[in-house]
Amino acid sequence: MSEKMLKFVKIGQQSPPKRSADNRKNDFKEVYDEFISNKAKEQSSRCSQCGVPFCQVHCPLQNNIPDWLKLTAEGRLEDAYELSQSTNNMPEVCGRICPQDRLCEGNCVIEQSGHGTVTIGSVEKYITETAWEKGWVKPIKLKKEKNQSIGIIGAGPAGLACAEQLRKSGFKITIYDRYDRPGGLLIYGIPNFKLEKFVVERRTKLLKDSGIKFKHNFEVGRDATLEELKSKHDAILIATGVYKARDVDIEGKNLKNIFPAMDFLTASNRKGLGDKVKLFDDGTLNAENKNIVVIGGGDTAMDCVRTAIRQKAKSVKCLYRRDRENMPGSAREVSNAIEEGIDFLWLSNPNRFIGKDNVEAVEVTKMELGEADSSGRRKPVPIKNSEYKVDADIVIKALGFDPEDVPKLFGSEDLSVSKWGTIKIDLKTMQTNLPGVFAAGDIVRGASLVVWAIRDGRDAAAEIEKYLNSQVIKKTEAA
Amino acid sequence: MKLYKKNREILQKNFSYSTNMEHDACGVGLIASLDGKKSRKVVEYGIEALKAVWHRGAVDADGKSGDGAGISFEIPKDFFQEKIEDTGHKHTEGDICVGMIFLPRTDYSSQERSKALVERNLLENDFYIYGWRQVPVNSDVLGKTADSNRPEITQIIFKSNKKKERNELERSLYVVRKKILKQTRNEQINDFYICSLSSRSIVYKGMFLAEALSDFYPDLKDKRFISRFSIFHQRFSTNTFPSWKLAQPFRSLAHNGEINTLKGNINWMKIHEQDMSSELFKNVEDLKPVITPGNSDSAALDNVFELLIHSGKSVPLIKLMMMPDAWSKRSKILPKAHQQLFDVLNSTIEPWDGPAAICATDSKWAIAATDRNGLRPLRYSITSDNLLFAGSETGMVSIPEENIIEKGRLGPGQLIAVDLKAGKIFKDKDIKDYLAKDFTKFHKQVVHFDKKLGTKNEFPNFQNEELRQRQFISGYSIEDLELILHPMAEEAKEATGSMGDDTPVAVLSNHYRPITHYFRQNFSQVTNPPIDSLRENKVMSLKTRFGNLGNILDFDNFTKENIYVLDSPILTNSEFKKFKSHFSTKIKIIDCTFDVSKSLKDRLEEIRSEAEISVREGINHLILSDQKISEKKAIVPMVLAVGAVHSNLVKHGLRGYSSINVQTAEAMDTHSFAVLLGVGATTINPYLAIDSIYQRYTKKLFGKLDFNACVDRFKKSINNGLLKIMSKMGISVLSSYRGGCNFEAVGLSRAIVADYFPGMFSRISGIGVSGIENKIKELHKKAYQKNVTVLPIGGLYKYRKSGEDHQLQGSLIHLLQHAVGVKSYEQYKKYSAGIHNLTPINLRDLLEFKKKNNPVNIDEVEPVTEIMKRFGSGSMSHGALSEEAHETLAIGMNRIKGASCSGEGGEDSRRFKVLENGDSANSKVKQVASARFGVTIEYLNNCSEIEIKIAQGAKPGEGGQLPGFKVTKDIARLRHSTKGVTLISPPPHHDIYSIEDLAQLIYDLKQINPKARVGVKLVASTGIGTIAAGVAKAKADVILISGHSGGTGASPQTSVKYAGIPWEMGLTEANQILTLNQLRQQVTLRTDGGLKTGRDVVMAAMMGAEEFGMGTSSLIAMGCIMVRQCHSNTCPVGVCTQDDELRKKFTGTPEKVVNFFNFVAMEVREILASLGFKNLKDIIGRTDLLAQVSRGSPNLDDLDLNPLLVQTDPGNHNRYSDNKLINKVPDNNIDENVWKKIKDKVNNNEKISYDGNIKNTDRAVGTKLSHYIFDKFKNKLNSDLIQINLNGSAGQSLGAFLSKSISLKIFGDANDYVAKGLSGGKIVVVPSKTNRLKTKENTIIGNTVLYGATSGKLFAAGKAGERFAVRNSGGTAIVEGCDSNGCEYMTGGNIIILGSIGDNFGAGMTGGMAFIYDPENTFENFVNPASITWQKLETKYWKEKLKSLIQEHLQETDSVIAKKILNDFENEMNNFKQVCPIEMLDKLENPITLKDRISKAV
Repeated sequence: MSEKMLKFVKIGQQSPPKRSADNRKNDFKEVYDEFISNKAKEQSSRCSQCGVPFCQVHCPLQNNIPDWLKLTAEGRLEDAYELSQSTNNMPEVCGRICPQDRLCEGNCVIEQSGHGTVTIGSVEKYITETAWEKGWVKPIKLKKEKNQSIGIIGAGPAGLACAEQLRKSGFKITIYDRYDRPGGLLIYGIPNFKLEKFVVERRTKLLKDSGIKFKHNFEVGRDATLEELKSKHDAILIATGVYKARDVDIEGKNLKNIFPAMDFLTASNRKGLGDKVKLFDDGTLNAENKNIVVIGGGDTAMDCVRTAIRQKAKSVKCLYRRDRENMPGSAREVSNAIEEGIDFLWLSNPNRFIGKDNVEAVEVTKMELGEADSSGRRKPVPIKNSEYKVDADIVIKALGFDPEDVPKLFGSEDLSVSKWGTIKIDLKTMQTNLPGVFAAGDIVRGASLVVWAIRDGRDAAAEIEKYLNSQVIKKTEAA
Repeated sequence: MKLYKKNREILQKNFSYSTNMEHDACGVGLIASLDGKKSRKVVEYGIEALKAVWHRGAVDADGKSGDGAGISFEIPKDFFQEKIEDTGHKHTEGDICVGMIFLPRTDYSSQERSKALVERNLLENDFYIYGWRQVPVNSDVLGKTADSNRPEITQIIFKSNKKKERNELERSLYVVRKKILKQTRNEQINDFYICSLSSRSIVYKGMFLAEALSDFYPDLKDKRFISRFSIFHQRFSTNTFPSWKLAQPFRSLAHNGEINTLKGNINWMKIHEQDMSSELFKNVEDLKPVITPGNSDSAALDNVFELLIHSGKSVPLIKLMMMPDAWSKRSKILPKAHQQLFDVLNSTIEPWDGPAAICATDSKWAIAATDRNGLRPLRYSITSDNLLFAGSETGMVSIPEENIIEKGRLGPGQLIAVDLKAGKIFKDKDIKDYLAKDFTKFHKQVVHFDKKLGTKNEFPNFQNEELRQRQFISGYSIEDLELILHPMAEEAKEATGSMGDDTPVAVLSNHYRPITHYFRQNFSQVTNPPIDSLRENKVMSLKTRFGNLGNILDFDNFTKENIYVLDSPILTNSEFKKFKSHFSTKIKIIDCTFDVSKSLKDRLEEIRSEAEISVREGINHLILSDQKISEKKAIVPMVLAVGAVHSNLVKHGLRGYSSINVQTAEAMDTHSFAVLLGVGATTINPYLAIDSIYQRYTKKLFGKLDFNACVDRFKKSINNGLLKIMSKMGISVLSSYRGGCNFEAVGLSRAIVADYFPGMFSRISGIGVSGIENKIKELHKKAYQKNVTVLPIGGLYKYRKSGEDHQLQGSLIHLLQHAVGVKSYEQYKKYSAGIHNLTPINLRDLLEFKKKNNPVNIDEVEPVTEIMKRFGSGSMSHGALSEEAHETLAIGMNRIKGASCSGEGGEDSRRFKVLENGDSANSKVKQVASARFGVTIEYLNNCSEIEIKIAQGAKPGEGGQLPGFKVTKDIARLRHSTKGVTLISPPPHHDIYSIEDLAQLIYDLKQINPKARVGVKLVASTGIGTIAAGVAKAKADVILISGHSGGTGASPQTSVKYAGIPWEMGLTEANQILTLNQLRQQVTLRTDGGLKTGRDVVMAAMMGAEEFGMGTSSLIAMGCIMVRQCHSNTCPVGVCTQDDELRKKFTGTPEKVVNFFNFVAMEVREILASLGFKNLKDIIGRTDLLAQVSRGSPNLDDLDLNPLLVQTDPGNHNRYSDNKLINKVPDNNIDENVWKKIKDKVNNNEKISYDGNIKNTDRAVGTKLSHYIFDKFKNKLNSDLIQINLNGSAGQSLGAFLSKSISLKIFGDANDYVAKGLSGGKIVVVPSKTNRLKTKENTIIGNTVLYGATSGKLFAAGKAGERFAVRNSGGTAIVEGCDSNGCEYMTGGNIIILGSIGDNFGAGMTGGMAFIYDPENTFENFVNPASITWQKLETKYWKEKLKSLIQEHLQETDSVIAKKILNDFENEMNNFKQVCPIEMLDKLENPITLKDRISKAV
């Protein structure tokens, strides 16, 4: 085995080719090409097959990365896919959008020791794309369907992962979602240049083919109460995600053309999908020829700036109050954005929005980094008299998301939530205070990564299954 | 004595000790007359010889109590005639019979009862009793302990009423003795023992020093004691409690060595008993049990030997039955008749395997003989006055040299026999020729079954989803398939791993673990050597025999049936199919599955009785099969099934009637096969492993290999693995391994062990059948739960999040590295707490400290600087570690005054000097391991401790190999080898095959550096306590107990996992037994193997350690991140690699090392303070401060650690030893004298000479002198400055580590280990001037000569013994012949052999050059061609080299053969074979052949 692996000593790191910035900013297609087969094998063979695989340690899904790297290096792609999909319900999605530089690749042992990481994400994407191409990805075929059914609220990554896992065990599944398409953030939140939409649609179709039912345009609280759903199903999973945008509470915040990130991104994604979007078509949410200012330094902010540049904005500026090193977003995305011509204004904090009706400019205060706070990050402190103005036709607020008021929304006031509004669960059983009602994903942990949502969905599936099995035992005992 | 008994009782009661664990070894010898006449000389020489082997025994602290000595010879008729007359009787005709009997001395009523019992039995069997005689003894010569335990020694003198033929008389005496013994046992008379009861011979023995024999027994001084033979024996035992009856000789033999297969032999003997019948015995039941329970291995050997004697077989034949030659793979050398003889004898009884030198007699024949490996020395001399002397050493009796006609030694499997009546001597070949004639008629009954099974056409049984489900149910993981199975099928090799084992011991695991994981392989250390199953493959055998065994008592009625023999116990799918059809009618298949709704225990009982009934009904071949698993049927662990069936059949005497064949899904790695065979399986068909190979084959993962080839390779790797597992405990034949349960259980319940694996060691209890059942059912259920089954990922060998737990978690590694990097004790404490909070992984994790005292203020506790002196960083070589890592570690350890160890790779002398900044990179401890890399006089004199590495935690009992690509220029230089050429470490130290050999090496090392402590590194195993006691008696100063978890650069995965036990078990046992034997205060105990925190250190201290090694942890502190690829040379952080680029990635610093140990010491201090102690020494051995707070999972029967915590009472001694103590050994008188005379005269300007005599008791001559000279002059003196001439027989280790300024010349001969570690000196051994022997037939130097020599010269005008020039890495030597395994593992130097060579020449030789004078052109028959090539001399350089060396030999020795060769060198040159390692051909400075032919030669 050792002959085939551990090649980092001789072979340098190489990612799949990235389209040039000039080329890629003209369209919404994905930035990275796929590995060709030999490259994937070669790059996989660089893996050191560590005794303690830090890549896996830092993977929320605990993917068996060294193992499928080895299988890929050996040309055993079907085995690699089988192993990869056994811990991940959508490896091709994670391969594309995970911030690998903060997770697996960032902790890769040979990266840590200065040899350059194994390009894990690209290999993951390659394996799964090959699997799709070759027809190894097949819908679930049940020998025997169980009688128990589960209702899942939310067709985002957590809900989908949970649904698939439970379906494998033979349960009946219905997913309720308020949008017209399944996929949640995957479909409307993440721009095409990171995740082309056919990838998501391919997955959701597979789940439909596996016998999972989808109810679209379905709002719990409007179309049915939680209580009603509960009576229809043996268990319920709440996986609605968090959608309420955080606001900037400064002067001028009510001026027009200041939008939450999700409005901007959804409009763009819908356009990509061929929908009619009024606010885009009338130019309101279209960045073309406009000065765009995005506030925030996370992954959503990056998505916004890069979408704006693709919409042919006149200028795109990103305001962030700390410096580059302290940005929460993926460093890789930041450099992509810089390549594409986004102007980053680090250590900059919006002071007020200026304009009559519409926003016209943002006044910005320069910051410097002070003492570290309890989280270890250095706190930005304003520099006196450093204000300056930045022109803006559209301002996009990408400052994070908060949960909606789910108990109220669902008409289920007895559902417990935390002080931040996230749903409270028992961390072991993933059950809410309502028996048989489970919750997973961002609505529990707050805005987070897709990969965590998948993980939560899988964990919830396992717990729901345990719960349902115990219900069966109870029933038989009672009988 | 009372204290001893009290302590022993405590330990026995708590399962901490069993006398079965004791070992011994010794010196042994035979003197026989060759003229058929009795003589006084024969007895006197025997007594004299005993005095000359005292150093092979051990002396108790009182200086008088020995471990036992004794002598046997013919009954002196005249003497006893007189004694009969003293009783008022008169003996007229017939033979006088004498019983030499030990009675309980202080228990008069028992005495009387025993006497009455003896008398009654004699009378009942028609004997006439003359009376009892109290044997006069002089108890003054006894030590206190021996005296207090002394039996009443009496003789009963009697005769037979009926006139009986002598054999018949002896036979009836044998039966009477057996009966008496049984009755005394039944009546529970303790301390009753019959030394001998015979009309022929008598045994005088006891617990005194060998030299005191005739003082203790004044009888022996009586001139009327005459005999045609005497057999004598001196014992070295691992315990100190004197047991008079264990002294040797026994009735028929004296044995030096150890029977490794004892457990198997005892079991198989029980099976043979069932079939015994003979007209010679009225009632064979009287003979049972043949083996008296509870005695030593030698005594058991004697029991069987005796039985066979009385069944009418001759002593030489019995030797060949019980200790056959390795014959099956040596067709080139052994005559066909001999091979056939062994083929037949092999079908009668299982070999008693292990190192052995025996001397035996039935008063018709007297023999001296060795085991198949020749692992104990036996030298002999034949004199012109008709005597044969044979014994462990030459020179034991001073015989005038001019009287000696022949001097020789016995090679592997050889014997020399004397027909006492005819006075005729039979050499090895003669006696075998003679015996072979009788057995030719049986040979056709031995059928080689492999041929019948014929050509193969392999097929799978199960495929696709069904296969996968079965894999799941059988506990297979993806890791198993990828990491373990694949390389076996692809490369015929077992996978290699590194960095030890940090997973939970099986009993603590939360995951499913197969039963085999609870079995830990036995391995040998110190008391017997492991074997190299690769390079000495010829002595190993997996022959597996079917068919009912013959009646061992009666060869005339040998079985009528054919006996089928297989070359391996592994049957592939196709072979198994054919096997079934061949034996079709005699087969019964037993279903080894159980209903998921029922209990496993019940099913096991059913399987047991099904098997028993089948065998009673005449079935000859049981097949236990688990193929019928299904959703309703769960798998019965095959190990339990086999254990249940085998133990039950043995119990009912039925095992001999049937083979037990296993068709199992569970066998995959070599360990699982070994366990199945070890618990009694005859053959194994691993169908699921083969099916899994098929699955991979259909995926085209084996390149061009076809499926048959893959299966072949798999089988080959299993075979090799089995050989390795057997060899690591010194067993070479499978038939004696099978059913021997040569394992110890860790965490199996006592009930399971007692029911299914009786006799297996098991110190702590654990999981029972119901716990196992739960785990199986859980797994079974999972297998059927989901639609698609993906196998579990594994994680046993490498961490995986969903797999088995590992102690070294990613986050903890980072925490520790951060802590030592920024010097934050707070961060370290987080790490330590993290380790502590993991689910239990080690046994110690179930323990907690007991607070007995009030805390003390931390300022009162001894400072960290004191505590850190007790720390070590493990023993890792530069070669495993990069130069940077090795030196950083040494500097760090020296800063804290702790100890780093050189490891097994030498050390650069530049490091012996202090660095400019005051740091030192000189390792305080220098290791002496089996390969002796770089062990020079300089190396040994630049340290304060020398560590003899007997075994290492990751692979005890195994050797190692440093592949060529890791041998850089620097490493080659330090190891005295060549860049790029593979280096091999042999499994054993070739100068330590037994405890007295270890004592010798310790002695040698204390000569070469008297200022250093000498330590012995052992690996924890049950029985380590007695070994430690033996080591302490051998005068070691430090004993290191390594746990199984220890890290290493490269080791077979199954060895990492399944050999050795936790240090907690080994350390506590060593501490208990050392205290029991009042040896604890004489030796420092150190432990290592996964210590990670201060808490671990305190635990270890309480369990008895005073020093602590932390290897893996210190590597992590330096940046290791447990990549576990050390063996691949690709360590990404530059710790464990020799790659220049990767080494640049090393980020470790001495500060990090210092910080780590500082933190550990700070934590120790805190714990001490909290427990109310001010000094670490106050808690050493205080197991009363520990309490078990967890008893593991509720699934377990009971996990009781009490056996670890039992305390022995140290009496007046401390529970620890004095700091840095050095135990004294006797002076080497010759060296002291020489040094006294010359020390003021030595300078480089004039030569000095000294003349004197030498005896075999003068050991390591020249070594202490070398030390004195090195100490004073370093290496600055010229060569050959001091000339020492000595007459006589040199003791062992002549010229060990001899420095270049000294020349030793011996006129006479020398024993084993001449020129060990030669460091530039010159040694010449020539026959005495009065000797008339032919040098090429004369054995002049013993075994293992030039072992690990690095430079210097040896000239010997005569033959050398076994393993001549083993591991030589720079010495030059000329001898005139050598025995087996010449030039083994050699890596440098030039060897010329002007005479015959033995078998297996050049095995594992990877460097140096050898020239063999081979005028008869037989070289190729003897060579092991794996690593060497040979040709006639071609190039000028080597021709001249050869010539000049022979000229030098002639000059030094006046050798006749040298003279003859030189007289006609141009022609004689063509009679030489030049032998060169293949790997060296393209690296030679002076090629051996013309350039354009090199490639061809390669």
